[in-house]
Amino acid sequence: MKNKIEIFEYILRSVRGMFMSFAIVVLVSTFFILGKSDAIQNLSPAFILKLFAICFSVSFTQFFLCFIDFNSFLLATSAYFADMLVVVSLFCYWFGFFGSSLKSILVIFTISLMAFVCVLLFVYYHDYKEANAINEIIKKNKDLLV
Amino acid sequence: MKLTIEENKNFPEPNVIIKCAFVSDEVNKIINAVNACQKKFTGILDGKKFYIPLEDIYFFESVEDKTFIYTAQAVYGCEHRLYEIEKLIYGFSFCRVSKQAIVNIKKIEHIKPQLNGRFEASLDNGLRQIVNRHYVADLRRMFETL
Repeated sequence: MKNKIEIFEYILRSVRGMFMSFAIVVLVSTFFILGKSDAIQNLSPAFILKLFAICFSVSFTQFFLCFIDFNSFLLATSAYFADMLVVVSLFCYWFGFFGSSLKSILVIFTISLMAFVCVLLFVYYHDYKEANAINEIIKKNKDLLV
Repeated sequence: MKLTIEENKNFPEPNVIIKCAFVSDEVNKIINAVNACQKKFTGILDGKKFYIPLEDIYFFESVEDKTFIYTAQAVYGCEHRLYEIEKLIYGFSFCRVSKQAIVNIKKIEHIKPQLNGRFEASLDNGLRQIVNRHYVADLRRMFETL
């Protein structure tokens, strides 16, 4: 059972992550989607609201994952997830899921969930390789001692 | 490297003399090993104080603001905080693996990844300790220099 301070810390991390991701998405959208020349003109409040809707729905995925498995939340608030958010946002933009309607949010939520599983598998594969490398060193050290 | 052991009942205590041209990494390892044998930690068990050699310690763990010393035989209480211990044992075969624990890496049998982005270290006495991914690089570096 996690204590209240830890839960509070994770919630703070999640909120911080959401705003950081929002900032990243705004920057990426401004410079890569809208184009540098007419970026300022097209950056309307409605557009920013749509970006925020995307970030909010992805953050909701984080809370959903936290609800299923508390440990996954640690990974959900990591840098991998922020990177993934940018990819999901771009994906949603290109395929027309970009919007603040309930349908759009549900679609983004599903895509985020799938992307999270991919990130989870990628991280696990990376960790598996790292653990193998460390185990090799442990084995080598023990062999040397024998 | 030449090893000479001289047994004589007239010697009051073991005396280690290293004869070398210069203090190499190899010699440093011997010095650390000798120091580790001499370095003892005060552990408290059932109100009695025990002096535990550093090499017998599996890990230090902090649980709810109390620090514990784990050995193969028993779990002792400790008056020091984890960050103080970290400073005291700097240079020995101990590595911080999470906010709550410092592990003797010589006691680690193998590590394996977990789906939540953390690692699990199995010690040779059957105990397990969670390794936070933040500390994995340090752990690997320590194994490589062991």
